Amino acid sequence: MGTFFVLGRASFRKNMVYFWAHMANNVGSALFGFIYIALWRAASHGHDVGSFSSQALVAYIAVTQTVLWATTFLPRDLGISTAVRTGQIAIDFGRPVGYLPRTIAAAMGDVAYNILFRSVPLVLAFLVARVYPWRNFLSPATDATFVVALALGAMTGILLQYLIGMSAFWTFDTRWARRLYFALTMFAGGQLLPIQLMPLALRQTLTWLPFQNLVSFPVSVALHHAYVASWISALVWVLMLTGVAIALTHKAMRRVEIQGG
Amino acid sequence: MGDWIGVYKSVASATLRARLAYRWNFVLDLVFQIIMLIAELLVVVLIASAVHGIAGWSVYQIVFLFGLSSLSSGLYRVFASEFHGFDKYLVNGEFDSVLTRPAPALVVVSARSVDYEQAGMLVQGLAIVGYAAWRLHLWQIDGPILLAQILSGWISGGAIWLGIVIAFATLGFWTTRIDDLAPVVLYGPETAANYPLSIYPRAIQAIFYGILPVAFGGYIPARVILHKGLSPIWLLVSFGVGAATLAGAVGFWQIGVRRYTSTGS
Amino acid sequence: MAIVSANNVTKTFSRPTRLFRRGNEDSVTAIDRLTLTIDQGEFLGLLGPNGAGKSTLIKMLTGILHPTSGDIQVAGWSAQHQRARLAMDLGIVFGQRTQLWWDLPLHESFTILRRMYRVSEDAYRTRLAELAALLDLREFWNVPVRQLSLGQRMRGELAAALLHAPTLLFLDEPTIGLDVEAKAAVRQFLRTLNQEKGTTIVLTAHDMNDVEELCRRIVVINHGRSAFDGTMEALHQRVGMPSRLVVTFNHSVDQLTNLPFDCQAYGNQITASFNRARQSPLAVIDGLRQWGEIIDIQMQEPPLDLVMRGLYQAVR
Repeated sequence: MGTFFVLGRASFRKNMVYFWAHMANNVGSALFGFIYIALWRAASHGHDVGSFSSQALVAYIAVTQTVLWATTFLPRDLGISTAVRTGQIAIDFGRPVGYLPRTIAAAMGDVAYNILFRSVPLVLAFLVARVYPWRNFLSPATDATFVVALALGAMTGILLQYLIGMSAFWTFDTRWARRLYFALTMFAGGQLLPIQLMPLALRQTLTWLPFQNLVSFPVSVALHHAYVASWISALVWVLMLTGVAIALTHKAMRRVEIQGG
Repeated sequence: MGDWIGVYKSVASATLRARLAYRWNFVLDLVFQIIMLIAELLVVVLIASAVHGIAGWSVYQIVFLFGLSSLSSGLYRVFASEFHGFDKYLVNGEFDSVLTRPAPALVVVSARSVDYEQAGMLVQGLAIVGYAAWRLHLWQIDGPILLAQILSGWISGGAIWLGIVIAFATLGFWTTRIDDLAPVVLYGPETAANYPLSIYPRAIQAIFYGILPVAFGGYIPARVILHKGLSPIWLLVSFGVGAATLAGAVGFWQIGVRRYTSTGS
Repeated sequence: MAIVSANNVTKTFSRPTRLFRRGNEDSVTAIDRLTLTIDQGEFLGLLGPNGAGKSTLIKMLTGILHPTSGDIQVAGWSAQHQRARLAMDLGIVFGQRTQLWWDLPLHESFTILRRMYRVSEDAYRTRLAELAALLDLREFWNVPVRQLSLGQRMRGELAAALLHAPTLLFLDEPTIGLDVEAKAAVRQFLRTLNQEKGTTIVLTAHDMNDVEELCRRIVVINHGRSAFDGTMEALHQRVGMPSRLVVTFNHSVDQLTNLPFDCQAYGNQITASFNRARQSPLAVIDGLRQWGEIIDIQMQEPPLDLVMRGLYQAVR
């Protein structure tokens, strides 16, 4: 356990070096939030959109902007493709602690940093602008479920990035996988438009895809909009993705042993 | 001056051929760009048509504005890509090599900056503007005048965006790392400019009129062209703002280069 | 005729600051009242320990950096005020950086450079034929640069730097990472270039063999000043590193004593170490002759990196 904690702390500290640059970046992130909030507010002025009131939509955007930092904005493919290209991966595989848990631990450090220094400042900015639904968080039950949902979301994000990184063993370039992932988070994850507002068939399909874990699911939990199906989907996907990650890691290790990377 | 155009052309065409060395990536990139932009536009159209317009703008008026704005910012993405990621020149010392060339640094970096992948943005912007103009029956007024107005708005916007991205790159001479500033200086304003600026809080609007004057690269010209309460004189104003932004940015760049040659940080 | 004249040049830096981060604001003097003249046709080695100001000096001579005070004239231009014009007369090869277009066949880079340096069609053709012959460019003329071996790439870099027939060539680590054969080819080319074309060459290298084989004049920079300026022989003398004489006798010899120089015996060989500044090799041989019949004598100069270490220690 100690090893994993140290690894997580190391990547947390690595981020600290760029603390002020990140704060500048936060301003941009908040700006994006305000742009989309203004857009939705103007679009839904005085009307309900589907099951969302104008206020609920604004709250959705605000929470989304803060959740993204915990679930999707991780180092790109966790640095795995670079390690594969440079051959560093052979050394990484050779260490006495498992590669997958070690990588997850390091990514957890990134997530912790992001929550503390990316999400929290955004929450504060949105609180000041009075667009953050703070009342929802007064209930301990919401807080508890939100934390669990966020953890599942972060885990899904880490595992998906891990799989993209692992794909570097079989394809030369992970750029396409990364772009696809980005697009799917945006449209299938509910970043641009709440899944609840989509046509029924689409909504049902997206609920059973892992991308809902990244945005739609934790945000909906905070806003009391989550389906029971979303909970089941989130849990099942984290387990399944973990299984796939373990299997792929074994395959990759065998590949490195045979071909030397 | 004519020499530098020749240098620019030969370097730019070499850049294209270098890109074509990876033909499939090139094509896929293009397709991906277009899909992403269309998807974003579709979401906006869906919302706007569900609520019959935004802030007094009809669905197709918004589509028109979106198209004009992405034409403007498309110019910086196609013609100034290296300024956009300028950190790398300063971090690995590549800027030294630029300074050993017998041409102004601005010309050398610009020549390497042509990013054909992003050209899809321009093609698509034209298509969007054309489609919206057709749906809004703008052609019925006067074709050539309309074209001239659109072109004027596009050029003003292009100059504003080129100016902003050059100024953004110049910041690197002081801070080295600029990529974390990109969301505030480039991406945020770029997204914001796609929609009627009147929907934003006053403080944000003030920035888009004064500090990063993207208002004059889409919103103001669109209001003139769509007859939304502005006289054509505002096209001239926009043009002036564009010229001033670009000139100011080039001046700022010179100061930055002078700083670099005296400190070499 | 002087092609480079740097007059009382000083360069101070205030330490660079990070984004929103106050760094140390103390200023560092990288070059301290340095005066340097290089004549046309020289082959000069510029040496110095890391951080001595070597690369700052090169950057100032090429117009990349401007001196804080003092004046630099290169090829008749002010390096500070006429950078773009000066660039037309300079060839520059930084061993760790490329000026070739990575993804394009080698010949494309030359087409671009021809435009950039405004080389006329005729001059381009003759110049290229010459360089291609000297550097064997034909065999990989149509190969994308990224697929070239390191040696091939360096040949390409040299040709690219020389396409516009510069009068002055700056080389920074031109043989770094090359194998023995490629190194020899590059050195041979540089020698030809300097001797037959009269191109002035300024070389910085960590590979002392490059410097020893090529440079007739050596300038050592330390603490921003010229710590030494002269020939290789003068450098040896200045440092006083022992020269070595390996003498072979027709019979085995014991350890010798009572000689005014240091001796090591091994089998029938004696290695004598002595300071050439104080003793001539002939006197040493005379001293050894009394121990028996000599059948072979070999003179060994101390390797330059040893000399340099001695020098850096001496001037510290």
